[in-house]
Amino acid sequence: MKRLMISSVLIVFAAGGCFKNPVSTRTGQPPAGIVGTWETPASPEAVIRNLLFSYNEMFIQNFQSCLAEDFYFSSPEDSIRAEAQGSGYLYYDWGKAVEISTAQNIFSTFSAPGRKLDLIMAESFENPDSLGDTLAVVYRQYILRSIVVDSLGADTTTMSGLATFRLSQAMLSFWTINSWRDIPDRPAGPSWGNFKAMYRR
Amino acid sequence: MSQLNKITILLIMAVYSPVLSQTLDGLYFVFSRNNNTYNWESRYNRRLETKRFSAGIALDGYSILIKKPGKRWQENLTAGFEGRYKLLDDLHISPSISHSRAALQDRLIYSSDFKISAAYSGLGFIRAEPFIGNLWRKNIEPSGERINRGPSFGLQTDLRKIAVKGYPLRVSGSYSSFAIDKIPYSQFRAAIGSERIWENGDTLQWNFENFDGVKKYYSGSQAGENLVRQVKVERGARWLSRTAAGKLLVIRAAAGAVRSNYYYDSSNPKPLLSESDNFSESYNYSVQIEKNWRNKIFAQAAYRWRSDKQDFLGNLLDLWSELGEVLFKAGVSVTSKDSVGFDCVFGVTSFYGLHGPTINERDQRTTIMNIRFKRIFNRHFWGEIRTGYSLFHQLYINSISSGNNNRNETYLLGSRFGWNVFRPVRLIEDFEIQANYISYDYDRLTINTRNRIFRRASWNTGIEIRFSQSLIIKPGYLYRYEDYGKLFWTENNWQQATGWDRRYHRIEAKMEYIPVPWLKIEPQYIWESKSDYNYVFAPSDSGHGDILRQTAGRDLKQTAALAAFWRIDAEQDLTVSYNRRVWTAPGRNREIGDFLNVAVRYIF
Repeated sequence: MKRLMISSVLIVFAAGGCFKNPVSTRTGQPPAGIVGTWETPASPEAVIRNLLFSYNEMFIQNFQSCLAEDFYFSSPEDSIRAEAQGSGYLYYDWGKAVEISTAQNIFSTFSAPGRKLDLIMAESFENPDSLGDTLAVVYRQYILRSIVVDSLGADTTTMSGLATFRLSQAMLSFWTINSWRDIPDRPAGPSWGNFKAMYRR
Repeated sequence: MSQLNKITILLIMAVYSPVLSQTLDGLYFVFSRNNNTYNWESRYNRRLETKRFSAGIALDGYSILIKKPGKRWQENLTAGFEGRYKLLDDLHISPSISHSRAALQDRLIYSSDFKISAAYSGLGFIRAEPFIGNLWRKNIEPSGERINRGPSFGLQTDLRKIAVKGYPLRVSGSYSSFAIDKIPYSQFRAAIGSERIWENGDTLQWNFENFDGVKKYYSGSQAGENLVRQVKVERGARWLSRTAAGKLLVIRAAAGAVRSNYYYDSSNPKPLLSESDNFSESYNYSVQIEKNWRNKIFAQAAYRWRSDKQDFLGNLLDLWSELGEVLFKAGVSVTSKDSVGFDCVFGVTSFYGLHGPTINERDQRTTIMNIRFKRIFNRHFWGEIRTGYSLFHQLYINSISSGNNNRNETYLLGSRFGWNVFRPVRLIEDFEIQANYISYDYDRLTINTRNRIFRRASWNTGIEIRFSQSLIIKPGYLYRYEDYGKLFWTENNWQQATGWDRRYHRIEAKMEYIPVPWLKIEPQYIWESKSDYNYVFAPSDSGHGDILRQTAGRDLKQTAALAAFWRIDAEQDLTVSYNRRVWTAPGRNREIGDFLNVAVRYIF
């Protein structure tokens, strides 16, 4: 019987045939692009500044470092309007992976010659920031301008609204954005949320 | 005090208090108050046994009241009864009833379940237990109320006392259906397995399991409620053996595989991601060899492999991973007074995109090493020294993410010495230093760097002075130092720039006093001081600038506590404890925290 058991051990080896070298790792590609402007996210405001710079510099690594693993984006007004138009699914299940792939699409699109993206963010006087020890809510009035220049001329779209960021800090760790909500300045007006939805993949 | 009076007191206390977590027959209450939060927990358990009939009753209650900032009341009450009546030698009837009420402010959920089963074992090696029952749920909310109810039925069967060539077999199967109005579901389970243990400890276990479940539910989404039908199919197998090869060598091996499939049928024309068909599967095996030489030398080596796959059919999250890990462990008793222990783990987990390369592809390398040395100098003095190192290296493969590649390393050195100074006085000294470095592979910036270091050291002295069997005093002192800062890469070397540091002192004194055998009193006093300092850069006249260390905060906490444990008799006891903490810090109001706990236990 013991032989059977030992041989069954060997069968596991053979049948498994599955072995992973416990000390060898793959070689990763070096980071793409420039390093970008990055500030240690030791405060909620620093994270928002990093987000601003990463957008203007179109640097995806810094952008994704601003987001928490359980990140969630919502654009209530745009999504209700989209729902009525039959494209509400564009706003469904918008987590970190969707946010990164969308930003990546935007950055690669606007890195092309003749295209430009400008983002300005300012504190909202009507909605003062609420900063706690480990949780914070930060309001930013934004203007996002996209410029496309071709043989027919320059096409500029200006989007404006209020972005609400909820952030949290883990023990001895950095601040990251848990949720981002977008409200356009004018109902049905061009907004950041609507712009992002167009580039969702 | 008469028995009746004792019970009366306990019941009166139940009105003010009530936790329980034990299954012994009895009555338990716990009341606790922490500043503005009040908790009541209570449990009553009772079992009845006669020759033909057995039954159990359980009553549970749990209430929380939060007084500030706004009043918030939560309450859960559950009552249950289970019985078993022997109708014939081969036939048992088992009724069960449970009722619960869960309330949160003005929202209420009532539930009532009833079930009766008949276990019949008169069919030779087959045991069958059919059941019928009814489920009822009522939700009351400010917006209205809704009721969900329906009958249930099912059958559980087992094959008994079956063995093939000396290997006992366990075979079971069950089907149950719950035809509830809004969320009907049904389940089928089947399992076959065996376990055999030989006299020398050799063991062989294996089993196969199957589960099929169907349910319907309403899925809330931004598009409104949709009716979704979910089918879950899960199959798994496990295998485990222990074999003694010769007198000293033991080989253990284990393997397992499990696959879960979810299929959805949704009324939503554009189903959510969570309503998409998906599956996950996992395979693993491990082999471990260990040897023991006369209890003087112990050595163990093991290898573990695991593979996981999850597929949401096209989603970015779809990954498969593979882990390979080796473990070595050894212990040597060099002499009767000296011993050395060593263990280390090396492993790599690789994540791959399931449908091609993704930005989440990465390797995670783990290295952990620990060494311990212990020496007993004499019967009054002993000591232990330990060192440790751990490394977690995260390597993203894609250039989009590889900027986040980082190493998280921790170095640790610690010691513990025990000294029986003289008969009634014992001293324990603990010392530990620890440094944690987090460095990013591609970050060699000097200003906006993400590289950082966290260091910590602590010294803990504990004294136990035993004046008599009934009086023990335990004074103690703890000092802890922590600092945190950035790491700069300059001149091919790391340099630390401390951002802040923190000093913590804690002095405490505790007394255990047993004036009579049934009463134990424990007064305690704790004094804590914490100081925080920030390091700031200030320009100087020389033009280079200076680093200034500034006080960022200073906390002082004083806690006085008193606990009393009254053992009324072997079946009844009462514990009361009270803590009061005063917290002062510059620039903030003095904060006083109170915690009161009362626990009563009465075992029948």
